[in-house]
Amino acid sequence: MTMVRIRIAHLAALFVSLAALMVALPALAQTTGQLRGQVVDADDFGVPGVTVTLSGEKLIGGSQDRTTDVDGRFVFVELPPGEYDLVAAKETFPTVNVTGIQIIVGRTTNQEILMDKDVEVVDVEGKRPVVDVEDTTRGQVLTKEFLDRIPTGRSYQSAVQMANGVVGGSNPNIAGSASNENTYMIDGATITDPVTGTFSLNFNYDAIEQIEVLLGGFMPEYGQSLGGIINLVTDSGTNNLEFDTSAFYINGNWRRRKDARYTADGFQLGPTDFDTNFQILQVAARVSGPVVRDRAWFIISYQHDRSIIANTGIPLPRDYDGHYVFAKLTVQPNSEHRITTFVRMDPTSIDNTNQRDIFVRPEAQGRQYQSNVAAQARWQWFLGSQANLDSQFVFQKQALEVGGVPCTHSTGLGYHPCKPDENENYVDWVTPGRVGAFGAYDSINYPSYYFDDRLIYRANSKLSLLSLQDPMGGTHDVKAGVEAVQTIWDQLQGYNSNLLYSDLNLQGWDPLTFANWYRVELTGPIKFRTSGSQWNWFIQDAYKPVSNLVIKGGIRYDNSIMRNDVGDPVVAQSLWGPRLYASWDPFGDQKTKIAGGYGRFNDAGRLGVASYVRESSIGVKYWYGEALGTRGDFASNQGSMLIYQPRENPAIAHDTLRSPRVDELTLQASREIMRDVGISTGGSYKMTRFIFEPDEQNLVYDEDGSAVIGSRYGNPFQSYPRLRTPRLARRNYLQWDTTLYKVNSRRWFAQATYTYTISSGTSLASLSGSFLNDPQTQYNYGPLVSTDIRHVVKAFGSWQLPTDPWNQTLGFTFQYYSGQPLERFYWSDGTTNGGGGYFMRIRPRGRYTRFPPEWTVGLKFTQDLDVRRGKIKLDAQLLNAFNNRAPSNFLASFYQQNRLFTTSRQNPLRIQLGLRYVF
Amino acid sequence: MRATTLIGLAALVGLSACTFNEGLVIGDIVGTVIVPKDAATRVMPNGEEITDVKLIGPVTLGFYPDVRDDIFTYPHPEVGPAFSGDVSGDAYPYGGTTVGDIRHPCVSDLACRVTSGRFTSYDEILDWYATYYEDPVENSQGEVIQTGEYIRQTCFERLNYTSDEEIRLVASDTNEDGVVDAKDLQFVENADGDFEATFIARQAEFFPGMKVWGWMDTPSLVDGRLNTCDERSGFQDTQYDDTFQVGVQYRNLLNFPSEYIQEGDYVAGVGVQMDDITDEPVITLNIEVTE
Repeated sequence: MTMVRIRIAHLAALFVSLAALMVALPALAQTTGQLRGQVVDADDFGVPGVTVTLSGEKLIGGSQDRTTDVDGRFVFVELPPGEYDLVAAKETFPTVNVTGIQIIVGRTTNQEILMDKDVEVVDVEGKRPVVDVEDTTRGQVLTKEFLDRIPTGRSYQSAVQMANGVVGGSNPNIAGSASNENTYMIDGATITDPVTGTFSLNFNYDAIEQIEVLLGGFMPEYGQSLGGIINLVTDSGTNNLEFDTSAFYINGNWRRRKDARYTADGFQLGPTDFDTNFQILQVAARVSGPVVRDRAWFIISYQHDRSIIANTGIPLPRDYDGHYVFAKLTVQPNSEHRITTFVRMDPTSIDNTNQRDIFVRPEAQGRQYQSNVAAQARWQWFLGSQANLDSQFVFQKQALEVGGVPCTHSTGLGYHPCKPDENENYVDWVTPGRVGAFGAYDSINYPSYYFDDRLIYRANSKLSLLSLQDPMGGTHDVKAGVEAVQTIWDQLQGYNSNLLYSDLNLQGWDPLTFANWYRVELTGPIKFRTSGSQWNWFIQDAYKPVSNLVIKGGIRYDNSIMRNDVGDPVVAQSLWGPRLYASWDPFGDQKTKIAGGYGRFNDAGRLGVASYVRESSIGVKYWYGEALGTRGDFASNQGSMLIYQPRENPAIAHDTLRSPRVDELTLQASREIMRDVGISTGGSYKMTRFIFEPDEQNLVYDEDGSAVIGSRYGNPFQSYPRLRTPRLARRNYLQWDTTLYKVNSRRWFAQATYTYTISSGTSLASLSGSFLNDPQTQYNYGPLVSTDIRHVVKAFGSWQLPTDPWNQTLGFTFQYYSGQPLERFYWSDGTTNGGGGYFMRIRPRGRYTRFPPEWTVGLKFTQDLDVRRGKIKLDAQLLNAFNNRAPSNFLASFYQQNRLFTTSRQNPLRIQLGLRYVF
Repeated sequence: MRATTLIGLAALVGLSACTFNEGLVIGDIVGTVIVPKDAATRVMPNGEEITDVKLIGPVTLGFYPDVRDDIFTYPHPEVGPAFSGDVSGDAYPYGGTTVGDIRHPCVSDLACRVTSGRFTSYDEILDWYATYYEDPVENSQGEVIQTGEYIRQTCFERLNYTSDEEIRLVASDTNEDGVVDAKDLQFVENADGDFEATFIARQAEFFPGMKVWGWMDTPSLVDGRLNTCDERSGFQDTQYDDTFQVGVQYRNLLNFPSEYIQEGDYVAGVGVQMDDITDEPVITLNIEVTE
């Protein structure tokens, strides 16, 4: 009877799925986990007909019942992550209560239940998953316990740094990828920036339930990411009305270290007192609870982030002022339907955006206003206990506005001071700015403006048919999905009064001797649109021929067209991504896993690629300035035109482009070596090929690439970039991790990982626009990509002190990174001869040096205090407790005398103090 | 879906990438340049006639659609239309390279006077100008530089370089025999008494039938200066009160060779046609420009 009902449900679901296809719907990643188990008797035989009831605080719709099959097996799917209780009951058998079963997003928790007739009532502590023997992905899930008890700061970007295979900053390199090759998701919906391939929004830390960080080995339902996947799974609320407000202050100015920069002859670059400034204030509030008990839950979260952080040597700090709002409503009117909607936004302004250059006067600093609004409507239709249809529509709008910092009459801040006749917050959009070069200051005004709107419409649907019986034996979990995406990118850009001045120091590095080098007359402003259309489908199967073996196979098809401003399809491709993995539990005891496989992942393209070869461009005329006039040779040329560049973009796309892709091989082995303790070793080898890479096709260089000696198109001052996907633009990456871990039980959890990587290749970024492969230098120059960090150690842990009823926890982190390679390269001698404008690598190319190693220690203590109504939670963290300040970035060029100047260092020791009130 | 089906699909998709062809022929073009002995033989300002590779200035090589004999008195790449009588037509090269180039000289007295790959030591640079040009190299204070080490250290100071290989004013031990000698220079004497050098045009785009042609800029017999060097360009070095333009090659040498070829320079008599990027053309600069 059960089988018949499932088949009818399947047919209905298939019909609905086909209907969904007609209206161009999607592909959802995981937002839930599942629980599988078996009820056995004292002789280890499966017990059929047992009523298994699952309940949990996070389970909307109330408790769920299953009846075990002939083998005593049961399965619960689409479970929101969290802790659950289970009751197994059958006449003549004792009732078994299992408490504290942990469900993790994207994972399967296995729970075996022993029903012994000789015992009346049994209470069992729930299983904490140590080895998911069916999981073939590489990566890990950061649970709520991790987020609450481990010192990582208070952003998802900082939390994921503790995951294996993640290096770099807030747009990290995951598993050897470029920083713009990752996929970001909220509740399974992709929210990656469609233009840059980076994260598109910041998010309320307290509204995150779990973070899934995947390095590779993921099935087609997750998409086509060349790098990793960061999937934020949000809280949905519970039947209890909860209120949570908190304030955190982070200060990094406790132990300053001087870090001035000097020229070779001792000239100090910038003011005397300009050590790094680092302060963050975070205020947050969250309310969640029932609208209708068991049927409708809500959560509203607000977070305000204000951070004042200066890069090394930058006198004016970057002033970040962000407001994050998240509201979510989950409705489950009956057992068949669940509807979820959320809206989130993060309006933010960032002042003093120029943190790369110390030679910027306050009035020439920039402001960036940004906001990302995303809304999701999701419908989950449960077609019986083993089938469901999951559909969603996502709308996203990203806005970006860049201009000058508004002026202020306040003194002491050092920010853009208003002139006497200017109102507070006045922005001068008219007065041309002056840009300094070679040590001269940016002055007078911020010179340009830029407005940017990005619209994304995304619709998708996924059908899941679980535990289908195979006539030949075994079961199948089949999933299929389809998605359509439309993206629109509008840009407006120009320069104040269509004029720009560039200044130069007459006396070398003395910025007080600046004079006008040249002035530029520009056409503009320009406004143009880039757009993209994508659709994709996938089908995948997890086949279990026997109970201890899972074979996963699937294929994903992506079709994308991305058009530039005149409608030319710069990116037009059809992509196939097959995946095949297997996981074997050799002892059949749910404690051991050997898994591995192969997957291909394609780059479906970004609007940044299409826009690179747009036709809209600002035409420029360069005129000699007084600084050139002071050099006697040019005196007679004052007022003469130096260069004319017409209003056209010289970049073109080569006739034959293909999609960048990754072929990945994975292998891993895990074993639960004692209760709740596991050891895992595994790795992946990724071959990234056909990376988008422009070369320069006009200028011809001398033998060592240091000077231009001719031009193919007759203009020796103009680069003509040509977008290509050459076979030689590639990366190879090997990562091998060994992890010892203990899941949370008996008050503590911990994990320690050693990672060894080898990364080599020719191109790190997927589209740099910086001509990484100069035509006159060799492509194959060894392991220079910055993901080549050979040794990484990461460890974290937390202990809940046995001081009940006081709830006190201690947490720690330790991170060690060996240095990444640094290539020494130069401005060529010839670049001041006009044109040029990018670094030349003078042969021999190769690794010049490595950054020094970095290591940090984080410590955290939390204390709960019971008050009349609710709790007060104290939170104290030390981040980088030993205040290590190893350089994290250098600048080296001919105009810096080819010296290595440290432009940024590890974040300093930060003390974070937080106060939280919860009821 | 069966695993075997998936494996088949994976293999099919995998093979599909192997067929990708950009349709571009790009690679390193390697060849040989021969400079006749006569081109390296001169009567120097001190009255002595010598044959020396230091008399071989930068050799500029270009890849052109064609080379013709009827444009100038010497073979010259085919040019596009000239827009006025006193302007040369553009030769529109496909690509090119040099054998020896003009490097940052570290001291202003050597600007536009030193070709890379011609000297074995800094002392040899000093000796060359002091002996044959009777014009000792001076520093910015007008003092005669006594040792090559002074130049070397000045380079290290000015450029923050850390090795001779980065400075590139003098040869390094390319044949790895433990000494830097004449065998390590770019041009070495062959069995005929002429001088040969290997050239490499890196990542050059190949066009079937293109012709390799070039010329040698003979250093001035008066002071050793090179007329393919733009003395008003290059990095403006301002350290130690020694402000000077370091000088670099003109940016349009390949487009307008006739603008820079002077009496005493040597040009290739023919353009050597390339039918495949793996051809290794041999270019002989056998024509001396006499007017």
